[in-house]
Amino acid sequence: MPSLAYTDGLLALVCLWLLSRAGLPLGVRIAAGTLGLAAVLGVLRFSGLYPIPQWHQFASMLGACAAFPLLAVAVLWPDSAVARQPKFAALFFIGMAVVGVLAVGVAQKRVLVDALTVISVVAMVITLGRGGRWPTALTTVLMLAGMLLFAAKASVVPALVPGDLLHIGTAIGLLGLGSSSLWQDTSSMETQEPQLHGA
Amino acid sequence: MQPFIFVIPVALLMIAIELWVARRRGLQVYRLKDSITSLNVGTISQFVITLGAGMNIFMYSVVLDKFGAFDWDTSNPLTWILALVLYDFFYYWVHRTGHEVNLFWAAHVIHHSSEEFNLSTALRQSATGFYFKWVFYVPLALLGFPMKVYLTVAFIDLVYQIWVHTQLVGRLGFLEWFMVTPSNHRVHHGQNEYCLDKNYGGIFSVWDRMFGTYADERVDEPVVYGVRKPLHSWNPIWGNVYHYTLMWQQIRSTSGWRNKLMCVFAGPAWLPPGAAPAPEFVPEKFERFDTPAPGWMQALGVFACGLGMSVLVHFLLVAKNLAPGQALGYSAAALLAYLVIGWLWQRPSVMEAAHA
Repeated sequence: MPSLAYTDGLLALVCLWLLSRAGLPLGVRIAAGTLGLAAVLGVLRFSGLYPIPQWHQFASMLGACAAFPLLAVAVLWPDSAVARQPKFAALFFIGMAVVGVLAVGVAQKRVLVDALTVISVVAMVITLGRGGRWPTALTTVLMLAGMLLFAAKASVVPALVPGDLLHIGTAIGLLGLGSSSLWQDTSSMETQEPQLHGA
Repeated sequence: MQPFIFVIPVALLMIAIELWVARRRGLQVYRLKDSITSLNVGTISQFVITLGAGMNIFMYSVVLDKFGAFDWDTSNPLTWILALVLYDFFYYWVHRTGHEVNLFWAAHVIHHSSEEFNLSTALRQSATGFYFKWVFYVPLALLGFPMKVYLTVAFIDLVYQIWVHTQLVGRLGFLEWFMVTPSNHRVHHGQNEYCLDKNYGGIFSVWDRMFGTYADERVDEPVVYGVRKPLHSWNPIWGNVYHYTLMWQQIRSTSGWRNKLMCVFAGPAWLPPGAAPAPEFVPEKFERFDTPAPGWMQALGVFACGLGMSVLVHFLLVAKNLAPGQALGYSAAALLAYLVIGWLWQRPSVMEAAHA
């Protein structure tokens, strides 16, 4: 079985752990769910168990254009409606997914989606660094490094392909974010729902 | 060929039958100006949708070609049934989003702006909603349902929803449990407190029951149709844009970018901090919008409506062969006729002159 199946499996486990943490903002869990779905589809694809490559590509695209920006919003503005409330998190996610479909499907410019991912992660690193959250900033830098090595198709470890570095880097970054205290003080915000209904 | 060419005569026939049955029962469920406005709104929407239909089809085909996963046997009825059920599920979310996000409510509000509830209301469809709806059906493309399956089930879902816009059919027994019926759809069009944000289903009401948005019609409180921020106009073009202007005014008068974003993405009833709450709605005190219009002016409205609809039918027949400029010319001619009628019907000075 190729190494990509194992590293996707590792990423899927980390995402599952994040999903199970009820204290995290909903936006973070939606992002983790999307990346986890992409990882599970990757396991199915690379292991040959039930390959659906189109769905793996689509979920990866969603992860790149919607999940990472959603994570970035949750890091930059932990108390925002997008980070905390289902409706606004879903709207943001769908809006970014549309951007992804237009960039990849219509304009055929995958690089735009990748740029969005890198900008999101850089914004997270800067915010975490400025906030003095050095351990989390470091794991997020490792996530960024995995992405850049993947983009450069660099294989720095003999047994691993660039895709593995992307998976491992993302897993480390998510582990760091999930174990940080970034969202601990504000979990009560989740219950605050503005008046949303009308006719 | 546009399938709506076949829907138009069927819908008009159904309206005629509903009108006849209502008369026989001694019920007043139609008002001429309201119904003509509904038909004019429907005609405009068909012009716009025909011009913009490519977008929906194009986006579906993009996702289908690039990410569609499975091949479906279209000779198997189960394929169609599954596609219809899934389509209806996603329709629920399209519809719910259309009610609970102000930006999308601005597109959908025209359908609810009628203060009557009859088959002509079903035709009062938005001309501005097509740009976001395709997003919700992307999962069907991911599953690989062919374009003809997608378009067919979309058509079935839409056509089913025509007949539920009537006050002449009562409760339908066990069907109320899982189907959208005239009874539970009347609730959807109500502005009574218990009707707000309820019954979003297209064909099946099970989605409403699953997601907690189902409400039964109450015998003790008749439904008052319409919206809390009423249109108060017979102009079908204004009807399509008026809530956008309300939203824009709210954005401009609200301070802080977070609040401005909420004006767009929160629900239609959201108010900025410090704003005075909306007055309490009392069903018994509700007065329907009306303006006086002499008989000749009403006849003129009927004539303009018929003319516009004839132009639409011809347009739908030849749309494929028209250059963009010609297509826009067709649409502009019909729009102009409706604009004039809408203006005439509620222009106080014209009314006074006509009465004098």
